[in-house]
Amino acid sequence: MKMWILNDYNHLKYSFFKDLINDYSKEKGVNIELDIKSRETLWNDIFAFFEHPDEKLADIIEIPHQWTSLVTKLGLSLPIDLIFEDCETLKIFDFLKKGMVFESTQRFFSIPIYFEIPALYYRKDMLSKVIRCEISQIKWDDFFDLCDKLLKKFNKKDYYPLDNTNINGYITSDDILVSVMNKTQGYFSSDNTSLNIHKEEVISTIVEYLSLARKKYIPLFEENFYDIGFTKRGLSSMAFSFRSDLIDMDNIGVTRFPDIMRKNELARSFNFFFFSATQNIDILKDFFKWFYTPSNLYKLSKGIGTFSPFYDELDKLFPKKDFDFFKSLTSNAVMISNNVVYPSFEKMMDEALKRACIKIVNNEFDEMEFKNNLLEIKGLSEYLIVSY
Amino acid sequence: MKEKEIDFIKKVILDLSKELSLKNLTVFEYINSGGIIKAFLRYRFDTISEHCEYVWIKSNKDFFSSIESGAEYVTKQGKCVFGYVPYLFKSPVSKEREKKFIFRIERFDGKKFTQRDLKKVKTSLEREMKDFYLIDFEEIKESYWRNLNIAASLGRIFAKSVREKEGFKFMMRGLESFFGFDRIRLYRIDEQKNILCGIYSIDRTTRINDISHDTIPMKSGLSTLTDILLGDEDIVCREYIIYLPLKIDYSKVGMLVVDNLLSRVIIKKSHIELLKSFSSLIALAIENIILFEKIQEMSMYDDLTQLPIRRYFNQRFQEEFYRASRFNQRLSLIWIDVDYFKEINDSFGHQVGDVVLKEISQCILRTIRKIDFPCRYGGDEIIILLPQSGKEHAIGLARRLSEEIKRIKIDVSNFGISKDITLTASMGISSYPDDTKNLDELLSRGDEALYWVKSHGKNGVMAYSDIPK
Repeated sequence: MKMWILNDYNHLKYSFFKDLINDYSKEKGVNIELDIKSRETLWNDIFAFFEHPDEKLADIIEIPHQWTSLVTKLGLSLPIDLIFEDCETLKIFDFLKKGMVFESTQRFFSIPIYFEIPALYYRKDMLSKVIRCEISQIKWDDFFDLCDKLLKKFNKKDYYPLDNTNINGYITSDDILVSVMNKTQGYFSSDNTSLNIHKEEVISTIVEYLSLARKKYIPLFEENFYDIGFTKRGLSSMAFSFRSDLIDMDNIGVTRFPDIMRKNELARSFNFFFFSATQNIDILKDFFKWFYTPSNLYKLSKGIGTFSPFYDELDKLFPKKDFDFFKSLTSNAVMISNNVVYPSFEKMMDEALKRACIKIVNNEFDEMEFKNNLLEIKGLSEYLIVSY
Repeated sequence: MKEKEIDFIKKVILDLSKELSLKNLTVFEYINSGGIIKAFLRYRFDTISEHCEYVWIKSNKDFFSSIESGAEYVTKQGKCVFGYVPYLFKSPVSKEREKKFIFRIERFDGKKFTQRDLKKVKTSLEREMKDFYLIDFEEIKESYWRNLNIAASLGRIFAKSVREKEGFKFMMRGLESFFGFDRIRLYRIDEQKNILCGIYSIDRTTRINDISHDTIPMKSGLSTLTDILLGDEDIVCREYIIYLPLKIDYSKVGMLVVDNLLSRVIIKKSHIELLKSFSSLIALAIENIILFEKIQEMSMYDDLTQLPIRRYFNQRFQEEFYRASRFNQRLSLIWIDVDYFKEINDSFGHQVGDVVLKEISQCILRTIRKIDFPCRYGGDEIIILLPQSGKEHAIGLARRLSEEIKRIKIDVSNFGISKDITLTASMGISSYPDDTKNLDELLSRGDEALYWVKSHGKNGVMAYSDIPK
């Protein structure tokens, strides 16, 4: 049997799955091959399967939840209840269910193994030198002033007020989405029939977010792991992070992504789906029943600084002082849209943002050209919505 | 990076790590735009992971120096120690395939790598990578055989499609299974209406959709499709979409549109060439299918009356009967027999008899609903199938028809008779489920009702359930 998981900046994810597979293999005598894919190669493998159906996909595949509708539409995913009969009664957060189904239907086609909610992490020691008020009260507009003050205060080589925690090195659609949610419900309309990215308030929010990089408040295309992390080295004072692993540092505070007016918190989960042409249904059933337990998923989430899908595990994951804060994040969480077209939209959007970020570092960014790109993406995405 | 190249380098990493006891390694590829380098493989704690991290080399002098000079470098950041070993791959196949890699060995304990360590890595790397070029050759070979296979199979498919009951669907499935595009759409030109009309579309799941509602007038400026068709180009390729006008000699018959808009996978050049070379064959297949369908349709209708023939009726009757029983609907039949038809034929000849049948058929076609299905069952017998209709509706229609038929006047002045002859008809009705729940019995009970009318003075309407016992 084969399992594909997505790559991660935190190596503990790989060791978790390697240990898990070894334990299962020892106990049941079943060999599971593990492969670690980037989103890009996984996407290519999924579509290459249609040209080369002999080259099968893995039996279990990890995807971002927003791919669920697409892989289901392509006929690649098995209904979860065929593998895991108890899936309806699982004590998992309710909002996660939107990421498990095919568009607005009820049947589950993927199942979350962990989820993330972005928040603002900040070094109390550094911030106390530039502001006196509570950072939790800060609005998006004032946030730029804060970055400016920090930049002036810690005026040293390689210093950026904000750390870029994105593994890709550039600013992606997920990073900006929270900011877009300050103005409207997201990139897609609530009924998923059109896009909002032509609206002036959305375009300006995206351009404004990019200006964090243009003003050198956030680094682009810099490696960021282990000891070379900007926050850890004191080269950044704050970080927007989907992960909570920074709270383990001394002197770190955490608050909502700026803008006290926003009603919801953005959430994204990472889910397993089961390949519909699998030849190993019985092994899958047995493995999944063995694996999908609150204790296993707690261990995974604790290791990589994410949330477990089981709501009873929440209090164990976070220190007492921060528990109420993280609980409040989960109580208002909404998922990134999960419709057939979203992954293609996301791919176009990330490609446009990558190009924009490359231009920013080379001092060639053209705002008009970028806005035109957004309008093209809207047109193409809406065409795809009608077509699919 | 192609999957095979990634697999090859994964193996190189494993061999290097064993041979030189390396614990951590990242492999970068230089992307020739904007000064960006991409980390695509990472080795940590005995695990290789695919990766996707971009670094701007101008901000990172280690990468920059290494890429520029092709020399090895060692740097230290806190406890992170990096050794950069560049590797340039020159493809024997094409210059476009040249690649610049950096293999970066890493340590996180603060201990430095020596130049000797880097030299060792460089030597091993050159040995391990020496067969990397073979991937290109293997790919060319595979692609050659695959395309040959596609070409042979598609030729068979296009030839066979004309003999299949649903030729278009057969052809579309063939195209999709070989190319695996997100979507293929097929259009044909309706010359009479001067429009481009959709036939079918197919997606990766091989689901076929009827797109006949998609019609575009053949005028420029209305759509990309018609603009391309009205132009001179043999093929128009955009990044994720191909428009292929279908021509036989210089005459355009339709358009094939394939796209990968959903997957954002760039369409391969070899696929474009294959499609291009097959365009006239596809066009020919379309023309043949259209002709074949026309002939088939013509063979289902009676030349004289333009009503469907008995064979077509039997097929439709079974479908409607199944639908009625499956969905609990009603279904009626009207049997019609022209009164004194034999006498008309004997007195005025078959030519007048033919006119009578033509007039009556026209009268029926004018009077019935769109969903009703008339048929020339044989000689002067006509049956009308009335889906979703009970006895009352059938009687009403039969009476109206009877009145309409009485208004028909046939000119027989050629026979020295100045007065036109008028017509009447006898009609028998049977209904499902009231009269029977059996398909054959429904026909015979209608016939029984007709027989009753004919033996009781003709020119009348009788339902089976109303026949006096």
